[in-house]
Amino acid sequence: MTPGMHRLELSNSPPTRQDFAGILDAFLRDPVTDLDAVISIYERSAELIETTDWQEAAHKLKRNEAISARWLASALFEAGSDFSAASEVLNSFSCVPARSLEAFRLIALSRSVAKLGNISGAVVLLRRAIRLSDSSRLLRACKKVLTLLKRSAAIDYARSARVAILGNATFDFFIPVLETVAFGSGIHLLLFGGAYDQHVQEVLSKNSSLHAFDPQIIIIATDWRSLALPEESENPREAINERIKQITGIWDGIATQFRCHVIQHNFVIPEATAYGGLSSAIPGGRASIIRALNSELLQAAQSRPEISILDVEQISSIIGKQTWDDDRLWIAAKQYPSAEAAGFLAKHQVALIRAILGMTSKCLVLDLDNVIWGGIIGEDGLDGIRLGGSPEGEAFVAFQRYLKALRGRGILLAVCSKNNEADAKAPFEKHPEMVLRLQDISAFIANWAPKSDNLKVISRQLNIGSDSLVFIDDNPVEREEVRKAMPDVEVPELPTDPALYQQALYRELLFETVSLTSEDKKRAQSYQDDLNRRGLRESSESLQEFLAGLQMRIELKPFDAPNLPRIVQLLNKTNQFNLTTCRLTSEEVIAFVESPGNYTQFMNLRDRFGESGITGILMASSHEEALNIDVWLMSCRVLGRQAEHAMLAAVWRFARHAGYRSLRGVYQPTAKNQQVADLYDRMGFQLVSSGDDGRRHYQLALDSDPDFPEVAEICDLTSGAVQGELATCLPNLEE
Amino acid sequence: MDRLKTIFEDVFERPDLEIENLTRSNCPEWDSLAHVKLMIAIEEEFNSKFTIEQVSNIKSVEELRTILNLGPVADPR
Repeated sequence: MTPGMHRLELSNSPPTRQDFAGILDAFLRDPVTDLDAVISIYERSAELIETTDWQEAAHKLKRNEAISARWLASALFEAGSDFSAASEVLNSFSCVPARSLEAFRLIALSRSVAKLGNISGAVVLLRRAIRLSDSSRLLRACKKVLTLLKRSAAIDYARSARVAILGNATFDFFIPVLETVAFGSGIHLLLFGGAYDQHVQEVLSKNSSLHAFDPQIIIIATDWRSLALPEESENPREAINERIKQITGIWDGIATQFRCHVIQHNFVIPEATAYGGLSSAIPGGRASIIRALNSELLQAAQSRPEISILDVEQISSIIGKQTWDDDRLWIAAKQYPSAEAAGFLAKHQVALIRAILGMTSKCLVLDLDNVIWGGIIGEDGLDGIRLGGSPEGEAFVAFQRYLKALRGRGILLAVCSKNNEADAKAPFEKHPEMVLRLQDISAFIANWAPKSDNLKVISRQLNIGSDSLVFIDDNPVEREEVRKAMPDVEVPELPTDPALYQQALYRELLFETVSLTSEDKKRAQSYQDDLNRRGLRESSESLQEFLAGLQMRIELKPFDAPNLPRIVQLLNKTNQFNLTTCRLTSEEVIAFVESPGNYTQFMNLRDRFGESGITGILMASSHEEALNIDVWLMSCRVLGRQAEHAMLAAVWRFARHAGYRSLRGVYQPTAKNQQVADLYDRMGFQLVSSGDDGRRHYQLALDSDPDFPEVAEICDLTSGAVQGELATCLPNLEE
Repeated sequence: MDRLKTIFEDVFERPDLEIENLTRSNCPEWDSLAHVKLMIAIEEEFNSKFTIEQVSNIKSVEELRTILNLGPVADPR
């Protein structure tokens, strides 16, 4: 802390002109500053401008090289209501990689930008600030700006969700934290906090306010205290069974009364135990029981796709159990975790909520030089770059292994580098220490164009929205360029030390998923297949020839239990080929299947380059003489393959056999589904009506025989199959 | 500007709150929920920890200032 700061901290009387001169002097001399110092000058700047002629000083300070001087200038300008000067100063420097200071700079900037009337600009800045806020003090400062923004304008959110948090604690303190952290991820949470220790009653009683709230997600945030475990249990098996039964009983209650997803906290092993190490060493010790309970909880949830276990035991270990718990808060206010850990827990909850809402990022776009190897390939050459062989080189190898593992679980990797293409590709082809190889990279762009332009190309090539991209670059200027041009792209800050890349990327929690389907694991491969298909396309003369050359085989089946997770995943994340963009939970899908007269279909597409997995979904409901297509979507991976004809032909056959007179369809426009605006027209449907919001209703009479082009070998199990129940297993379709 | 005053203003969401003679009995907003919010914010702001006895016994701004060792705030001119 600077000498000037001390004076500002300790003096209780308003600073005099002489104090002020001393403060200015200290600021001009000392370039170092910390968060406490900065917050304190902001808090006392109102006094400073009252006691002195501050304007001249502020203008002098803002031209000074020392960041501390500019902090003071911006604080003075803000206190003096000159918001345009304040934002100009705050824009003139950056505190990266100091996360807390950068968060505070963004908070201050967001405030001034909002005062200048640019609410959407302030929202973007505040979101970045929240993502960088690791302390509850910063999160409170963020919350204050959020309240200000909400008062001034309706904010545009990516998604919103009604979330209830229940358990054996008081959540009044936690809820604003959770709301703020969710805002940082573009999610508008409408929150319901359960009353202290009332979660069982709230779930089971039909008249509870929880029912009126109608949650889409319930977080059961019970902690170890709710287990009422003694230090040692005489009968460990019984103790575990009894508690698993209680917990699954609540899950059953939720399943029968709500259609919602459940986030169940597992249990933290508390720090203090009378048994010491024995608590873990003997089977009946509390730590042993909690450990076993946590593992059985996971098993119990396995057969229930609507339950996600949040590993709070691991989360508390990451931040440290001494920080996690605050016994004073528990005793005085029935609150956990500690104030300091609340934001950290909220970040992990929001990462899971983001996954449940289908917002998980899909592709990591990498810069090359000083990101996956040390040095600059274009200058240092193959032998000069640092990769393996030295501690620094090993750090890059370790990061590449992490990236390779991400790819293995279905996260696409792409390259976006300012280099000559041949230079950029050389290490992938020739360097012995490279972990990543060219076949791991789904899109490779090396040129001298602005990175944001290249990211647009990557988004187009891979057919995924820019909001699904994460961009990693060691150069803050490139990061800023991308943030400005493409605010949808996630652009995490990167530390300067390559040994810390892996944890920095992990801590963004951008790739959390609810479940890992086999499609996820195959995804990276199937994008590679796509590239090969494109090769064929370029060598084929007509589209029909191209399609015939693919030797497609399309299987159409009614929804079944094993494929339900993937079906729900597709329903919630498909944006482009999606006629109605109907987002459904697995519970809602099951209800639809079980409702009499309803028809469901999913498509599995194979060709000679590989298997695309489940890539098409159609759901239709019975309305007297008509069958209404309520949901129809296809994954972007199979667009342009005319598979839509096969899907429509199947539902057409079903409807005809079932004796319907017509098929009806709806197009509901969104920001992303323009490409299917005329799908029903192309398919021969008649336009019946169109609404002011662009919603269009179509109809197809079933008395004529439409001409469905034959593009593939079709295996249709939907028209003859018994619809109306969720098949648990299906006839094996493999030859 | 006084840091304690800022905290009270934030927790009660009342800008320009006069806090000098504030007590838990003369301020209806200062309920048990607000009290814990105040304690958490003050601990963070002043980088100190209250004991559980202090948390339950603090009943006025005056007591808070004594505990925080701030002494009385100078007359604001």
